[in-house]
Amino acid sequence: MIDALPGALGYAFMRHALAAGVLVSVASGIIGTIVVVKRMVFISGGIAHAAYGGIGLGYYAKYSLLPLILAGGLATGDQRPGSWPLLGAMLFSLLAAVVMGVIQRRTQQRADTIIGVLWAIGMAVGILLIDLSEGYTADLMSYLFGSILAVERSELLLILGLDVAIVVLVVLLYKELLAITFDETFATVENVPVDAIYIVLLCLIALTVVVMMRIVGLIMVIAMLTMPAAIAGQYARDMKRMMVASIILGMTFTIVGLWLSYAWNVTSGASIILVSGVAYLASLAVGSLRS
Amino acid sequence: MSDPGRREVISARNVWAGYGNDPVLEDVSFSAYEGDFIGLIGPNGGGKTTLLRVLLGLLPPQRGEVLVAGKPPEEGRQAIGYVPQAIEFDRDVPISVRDVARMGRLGKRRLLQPYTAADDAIVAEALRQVELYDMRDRPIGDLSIGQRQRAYIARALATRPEILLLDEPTSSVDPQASVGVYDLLRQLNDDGVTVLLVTHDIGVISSHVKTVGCLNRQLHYHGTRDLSADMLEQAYPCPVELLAHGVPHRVFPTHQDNGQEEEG
Repeated sequence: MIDALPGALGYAFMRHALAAGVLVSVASGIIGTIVVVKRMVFISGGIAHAAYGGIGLGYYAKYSLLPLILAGGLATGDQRPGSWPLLGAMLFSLLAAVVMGVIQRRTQQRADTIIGVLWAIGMAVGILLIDLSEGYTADLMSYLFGSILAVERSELLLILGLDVAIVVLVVLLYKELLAITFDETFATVENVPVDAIYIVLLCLIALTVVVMMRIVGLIMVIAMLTMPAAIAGQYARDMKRMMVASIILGMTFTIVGLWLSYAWNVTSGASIILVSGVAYLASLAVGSLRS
Repeated sequence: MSDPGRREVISARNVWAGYGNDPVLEDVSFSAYEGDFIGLIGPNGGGKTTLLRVLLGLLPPQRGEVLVAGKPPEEGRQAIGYVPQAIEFDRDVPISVRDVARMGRLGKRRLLQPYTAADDAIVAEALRQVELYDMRDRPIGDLSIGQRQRAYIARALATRPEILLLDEPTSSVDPQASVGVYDLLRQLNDDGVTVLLVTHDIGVISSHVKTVGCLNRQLHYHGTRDLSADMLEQAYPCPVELLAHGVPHRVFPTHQDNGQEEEG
């Protein structure tokens, strides 16, 4: 089983999968830390699920709108959806992030209800648009459960670009992000543009969950986003170190999960989550033994 | 009431404020002058936190005018060092004491502008003033409530404030630590910082502040040291013991109801 990994690396799709896992762990470690510390798990879930509407839109645009615009024939030669669903998901998740963020900021109460509603509407829109799309939609499941083994080179570049954007923004805005994470009232008094930075943060969450969806699927995005950070949070004494530890843990879980899925021929997204989950439970057990 | 000899740093004129249709502050007017050390007491739910939110520009008044350092609160709050109440269930955030204190420099640095060595020196000095310098690398969650309170004071001091605004500075602190907090405030006040604090704890306040007022929706403040019996009776519907220098010198008649409620 152990010698399966070097053999597996002979395949381009395995190398792509490993690279994707490692790259996504950077984004999810940084953003996951903020999500866990600032307790934004629910709104992150809302953004991720609303993004499903965008996947539907991507399919619909590719299979129904595009052939219509091109008067048929031209686009139908390529049966694969390409990057349309991913682009749709990005668009939708960014929209959901801004809308949910503004609602959360403006309304005093019931923000969680509204987020829950948008969460469901996003998914419903996605399902209906896919129903309405013509042609091949069988790989839809890959967005629910992930398909790290099908990651293409262009998507690796996309994830890399996202990593760079997140690292640059978080470094540049670190003192403000730390301040709104710890004490929004004080940050407001110090004239930090709290609302604007919060919306930027939600947009970063949106982009992160979209690329993570490719790896572990929509259903398990939140688990992968939060578990490494939750483990790191039990030991880390400052947020920067918690981010670095989350990245390393995320990479480890992805590589181990990927290897197990290859060796046993099981779904990669699920094995990555299971490895993370076992590690998380073990860290809780160790933590309770220590105290 | 007016004091033309000193600069007016806070001015509230006929301020009404609250949430929805129910004003918590009714027609509040007062002035604070440079060098004042004011304690406002009042029952929970009497509008103490609301008044602070108005002064900090976090809650626009429904009516009336507020000026802080001669400007609207949104600008004038630059001159304020705000110390919130330290509560038991503060978030378990992985952030060091020094990082908390350093947030006091946020208002002096723009977006994308990192903290400077001068900021670090100011933060270190603030931490020394509250005797937390040796604990600067500890996570804030490891500190006791009293220490956390001092960390918040250090954060406020790091803003280099003209005015210190404190919300229940000693509410969950043991008596010894609370004396320490007031000694520190006294010292800062001697150095020229105007101090305004709100609390429901009459006992500890009257022996430390220069002037007192009572706030229970309406404000009774005359810029004097003594609390008159009618001021207190208007503010408090319940029994009150007034202490000065640790000795009770006035006790008001006991009523039956003890209707204090917790404030959010």
